[in-house]
Amino acid sequence: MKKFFFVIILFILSLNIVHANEDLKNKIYKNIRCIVCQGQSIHESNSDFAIDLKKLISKKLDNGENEKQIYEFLISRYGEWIVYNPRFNFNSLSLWLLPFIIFMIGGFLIFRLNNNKKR
Amino acid sequence: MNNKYKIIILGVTIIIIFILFLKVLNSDKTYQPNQMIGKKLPQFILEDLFNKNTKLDTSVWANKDFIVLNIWASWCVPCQIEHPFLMSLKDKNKINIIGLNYKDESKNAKNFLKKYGNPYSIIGIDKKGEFAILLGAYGVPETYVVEKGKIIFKHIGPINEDVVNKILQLKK
Amino acid sequence: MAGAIGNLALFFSALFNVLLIVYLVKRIKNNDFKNLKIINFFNDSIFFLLLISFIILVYCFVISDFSNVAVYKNSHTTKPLIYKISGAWGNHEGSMVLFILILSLFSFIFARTTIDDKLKFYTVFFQSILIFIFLIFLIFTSNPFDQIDPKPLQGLGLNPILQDPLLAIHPPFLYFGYVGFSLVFSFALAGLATNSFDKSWSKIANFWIILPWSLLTIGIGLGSFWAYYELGWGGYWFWDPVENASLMPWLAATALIHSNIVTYKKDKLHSWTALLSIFTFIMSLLGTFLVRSGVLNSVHAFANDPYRGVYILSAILLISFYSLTIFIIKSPRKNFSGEYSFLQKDNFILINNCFLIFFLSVVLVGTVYPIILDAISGKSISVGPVYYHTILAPFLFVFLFFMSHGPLLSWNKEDKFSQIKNFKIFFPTSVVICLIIIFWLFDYKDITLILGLLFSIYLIVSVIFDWIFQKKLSVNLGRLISHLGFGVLIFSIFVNAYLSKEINTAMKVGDEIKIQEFLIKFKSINKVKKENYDEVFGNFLVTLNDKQVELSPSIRKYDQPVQFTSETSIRSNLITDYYFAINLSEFEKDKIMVRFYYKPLMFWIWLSILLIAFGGIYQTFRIRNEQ
Repeated sequence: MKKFFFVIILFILSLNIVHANEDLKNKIYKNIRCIVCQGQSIHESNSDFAIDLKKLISKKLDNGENEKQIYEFLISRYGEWIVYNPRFNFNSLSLWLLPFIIFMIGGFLIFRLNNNKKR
Repeated sequence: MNNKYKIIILGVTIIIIFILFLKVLNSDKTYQPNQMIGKKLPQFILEDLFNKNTKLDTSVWANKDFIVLNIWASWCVPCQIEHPFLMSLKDKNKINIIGLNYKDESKNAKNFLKKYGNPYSIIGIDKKGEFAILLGAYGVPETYVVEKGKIIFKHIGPINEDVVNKILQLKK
Repeated sequence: MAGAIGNLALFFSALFNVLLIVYLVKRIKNNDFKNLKIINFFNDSIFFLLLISFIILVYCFVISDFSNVAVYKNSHTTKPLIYKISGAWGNHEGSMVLFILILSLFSFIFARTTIDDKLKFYTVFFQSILIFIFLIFLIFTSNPFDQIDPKPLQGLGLNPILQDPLLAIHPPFLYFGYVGFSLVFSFALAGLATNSFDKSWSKIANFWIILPWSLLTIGIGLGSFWAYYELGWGGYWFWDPVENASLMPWLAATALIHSNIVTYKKDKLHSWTALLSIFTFIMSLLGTFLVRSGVLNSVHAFANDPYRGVYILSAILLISFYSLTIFIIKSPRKNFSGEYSFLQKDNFILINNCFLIFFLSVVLVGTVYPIILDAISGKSISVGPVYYHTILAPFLFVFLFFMSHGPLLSWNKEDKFSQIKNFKIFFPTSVVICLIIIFWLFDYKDITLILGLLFSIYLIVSVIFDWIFQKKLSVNLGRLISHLGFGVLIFSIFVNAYLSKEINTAMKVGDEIKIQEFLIKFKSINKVKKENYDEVFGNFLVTLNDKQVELSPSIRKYDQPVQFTSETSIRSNLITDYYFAINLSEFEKDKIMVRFYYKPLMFWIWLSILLIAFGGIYQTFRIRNEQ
């Protein structure tokens, strides 16, 4: 029974979770952090820096660059931090794995705890 | 597992967490992206501040042995504060400082230099901040050290004595 | 003068607190647990002294006594009265006073309930230690009664964004939640220390878990609602570290509620319940630390003072250490009674508790990982919404499934037959409803949407089914309401996420544009002058099919200091919200930037949060009336 659920979960995880209906430009804007603001994306910010980046991204999109290329460009200049949604690379690998690891450890400890009580 | 061991493990874990967060608390919160260190100076064409018809190609700067690139603007207050350090780098240490005038009015920029002195061998105008973005800059002032076309150092904010010393150290 | 009295009150409360702890230790050593008169005297006195100091602080704000540092930094003579009052707890020092006051309030109320003397004793003891730790922190590093000399004529605190009714009551609700969990924390330690962690413990604890949980639910809802109408971007949850800081104790407390029920009904899961009681409060403290210590980069971040951060960090780790040590040493040793079978209510609760802890780990990692990574390696990464949605969604679906069936299972006997019967009713019903909704409303569909709708509808169907055939309604009504609320919440979130529309454009007066299915007309502007700001309203008419909605967002210019804010205009109905905001344009002088959002089911999102909380409050009162 549990194995069945595990399989379903893995299957669902492997699907690409795409967010619905978003205009690509806005989608990118919402994903880029405004570095000079406190916790806003460039979409939400009217600061100079945010506006400059928006103009630049708009121009790049018109030139035919795709989303990935734009993120690569910005990350190569400003670091991973500028993109809100973490990509899959070494740094973020731990990010994606840690919850599972913590859960396993926690579950294991509690399981041991309960089993010890049984005896 | 013995209770004693569990408590010891708990204690050690807590100490580790403490040290980690202590480090977090003491670390510099301002974001200092250093992505561009080690990368080539980006290529771009800028107008010369003093001669609108002259086009400056940054690849020429890339050919030089050792330059300091300073992003500044007349409307930027910390730029006034760091200015004397730039003057001293030029006068005393004969460093080649190139200026990047960021989102400024040329008239105001020239007045600024007249008032505070001109430490720059050349000044390029980055009216829209496009070249600054290529550099990974996001504000003023920011200062880069470029050696043989490679960015080897970057400082965000006004430079001070420590930064000046660092720059001189790098020159050797 | 008032400040001096307040300071004195704080000092005396600390003194009494120390005396109380010393006295309690002596009595414990002598094994003398009868006669709580002296203890009650001290406990009550501490509470009243703290109450006095809190009232005095509020008074200082109300009369704008700028010789008081907290008032000077956070208030202004022109602030309206309610904001002067709420300003008392809207700053670091004042909120710490409230924090400690609530610690003491819960102790005060608890001491008046009829409980075994020994348990009461120990609970007051552990609670007093908490009060002590935070009182020392308050008095020595964040004293709200610090003075400035000479007394300034005017205060600094006039940030218009913070002058908002919701923002005024959001902290108290959060605090009654967060800090409220301290009582079950102390009660759990008391139960462990006296080896009386059992069914009767659970019966009493129930009230002290569900009450703060309900208040925290409301607090989180208020914050979310404020973000929605104030920040102007149509969003209501950003996985901002400070939002996450309030969600983590909520998740732990939800697990605790359910674990406690199992302990009460079946005398099982004692370790879980004890550990969760401790862990929930630790999560509250973690949240406190994150928000106040300056480690976070957020719109919200409070007192950015690393020195305070070190103190709070030490306090939290100390509290964690001694509480978990007590847990390790005194962990309840209870054999599992009865046979194990999969299809039993307690098992399903346990499974879903595991899921809840997993959700908590995800939020914890997402919040804390970037901070630690930055400190260790200097590399910064951001953790955005996609991370949370991607990891949480699949598990959420399974969670909803277990949540639907669990309540219908028996505590004791395995009942495969009725479960299969239930499944045969819920599944087709939900699938049919889900398909109808999807094909009627949605152009764009993906597997996440389908599963999200399916499982939330499944939960709603199962709750309704349970409600209709319920034989013991009053006992279960709280649960039915809260679970229904949760189902409606998830359903509304998914519909809202997939059907929201956003339009961004520039317009000048008289313009009429058609984008997607919306016709937007910029009819006129009108200006209004108020006491401390000028306001320009844009009057818009939005037409969708044959429905017309008038909206009047505005831009305000405050003068001290000069600041522009954008005020949203929202028209809500049961189906959707029409949401409008405007901004000045940098580029075009005669046009303004216009943002229009179409946000379906927002009303249901707020209602469902209220339902979740209300189920808890109903349950709390029912318990109280029983006792």
